[in-house]
Amino acid sequence: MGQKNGFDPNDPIGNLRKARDATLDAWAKAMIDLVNTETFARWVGATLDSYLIASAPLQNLINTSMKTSLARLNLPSREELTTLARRVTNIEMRLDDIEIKLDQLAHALRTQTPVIVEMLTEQLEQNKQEGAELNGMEQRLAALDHKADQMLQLIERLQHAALVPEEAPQKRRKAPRQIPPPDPPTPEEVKEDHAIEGF
Amino acid sequence: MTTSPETTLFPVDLATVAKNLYAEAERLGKAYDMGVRVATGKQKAKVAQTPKEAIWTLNKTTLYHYYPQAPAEKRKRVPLLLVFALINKPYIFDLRPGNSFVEYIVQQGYSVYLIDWGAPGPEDAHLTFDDYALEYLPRAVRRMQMHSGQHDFSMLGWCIGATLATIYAAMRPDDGLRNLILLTAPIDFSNKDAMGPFPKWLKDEYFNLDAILEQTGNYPGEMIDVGSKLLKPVENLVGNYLRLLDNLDDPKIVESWQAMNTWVSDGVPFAGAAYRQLVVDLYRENRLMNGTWIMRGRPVNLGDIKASLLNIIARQDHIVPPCQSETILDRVSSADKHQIIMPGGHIGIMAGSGARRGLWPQIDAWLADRSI
Repeated sequence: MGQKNGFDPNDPIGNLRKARDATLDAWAKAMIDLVNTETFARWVGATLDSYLIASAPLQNLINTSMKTSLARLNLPSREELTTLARRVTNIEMRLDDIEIKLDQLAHALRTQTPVIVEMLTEQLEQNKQEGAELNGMEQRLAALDHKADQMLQLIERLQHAALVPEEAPQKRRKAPRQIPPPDPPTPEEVKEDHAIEGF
Repeated sequence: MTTSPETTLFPVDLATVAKNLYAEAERLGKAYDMGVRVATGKQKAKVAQTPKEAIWTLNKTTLYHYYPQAPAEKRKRVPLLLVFALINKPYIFDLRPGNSFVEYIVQQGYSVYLIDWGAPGPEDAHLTFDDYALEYLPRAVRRMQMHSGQHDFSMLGWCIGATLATIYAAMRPDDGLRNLILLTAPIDFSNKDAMGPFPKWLKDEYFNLDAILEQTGNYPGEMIDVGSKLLKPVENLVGNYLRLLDNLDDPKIVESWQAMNTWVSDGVPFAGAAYRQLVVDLYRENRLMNGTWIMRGRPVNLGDIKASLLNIIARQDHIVPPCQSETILDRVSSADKHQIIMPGGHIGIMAGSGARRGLWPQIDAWLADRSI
């Protein structure tokens, strides 16, 4: 009976707490309903307007005097600093663009380099093989060339041998005419020579 | 001395009363020291403790990468990018050790990145949703892709972070976004009667947006904090402190309370131009859902979203009620789309003590198969 509705006569603090919570709950619900009304919305708006109307002249005064003071002290105004800050942000964005492009480039290099190196290595190997093949061909060509030379020499020799008879008259024609041996002297000539031999 | 129960209306056992009073006095004695430490600021909450590194910054925005903790064989291939709102700071994802979504999800083997929008200064008053979703976010994504070496990625957006993620997903569907997780996403602003007090407060006839932004440039974090607290004024301004008072003798609860209170009080200004869009384009004109929100010269079309979609709704959310999130599922082109409705509020669903056994395993279960 004593514990009915959560009331415990032996726990005065607990009872106070429960009563407090119950009151707060009721109050909370009422306030939630209140703030959800047009009247409250109008009141909030009016309060804000009053605050703005009251604070605007003071704020303008502070702004004007601050601007004048800063100008006299040769210091930048709030507007100038704001403009500067925006420009810095714009530069930051450009730097960000450049940074990301560099990163992409670096990334591409990192990822593509092994592929490129592999491709180059393959190409080099291929070139070497082709080089070796060319060397082989050169040797073969040289051998063929040598053989061709030999064959040519042989052919020349054969041709030479075959062509000698035809070429002899030409050579004789060209050679100084050989004087025919003299006819033997007659007995009368031998006698005459002998005759003059004593003089 | 006791009173006979039969003869009195309220049977009082004085010994029990004395015992209870003594127990309360003892509790208050224990709580006193902690109360003084909390009140004087000597007891501070340790938040955002998961080890991380900043890998990219632009203006006030920073992209963090959390160091992997899972063994190599357990790690997922597709990285996860966390995007929080433009209100408050993103360490709510990593509130405190043992109660941190980041800590949990990193331990599950995800490569986790977090984008921190920072606190906009007067020079950032011109920043719009367009800038955040289509300038800063794509750059952060690009950096994450370079850092992780993966083109595909998942994105989890929370609150207005989910709105930004939605815009990104719709406008850049071919940038590698594979999985999109929206957490309490304010997308649909059509059902104004079910959206709580915000649509009323932000009506053109009551809320003088131009005058406020003309004076403040950015919308101050303190005003956002007051606005959020006014949604449940008694709970936020009275109930929260009474709960602390009742539990001052329990260091674990005090620590948890302080961490949450630290985050709630750690507001940042909302960039002026973006705040104007939030009020006019979203709350008043519902342009995202209507397909009339033009960004960079073309409309944001929700039908262009192709990524796998997990839409998470908090049933008791008083900041972004379910009606603002649930209709997106019918608009997207994603072949793979799921929706879950969890019990809890806007923040508690993800940062409350029950999240470790509630929502986080569900996110992991959905994401794991899609992160291979």
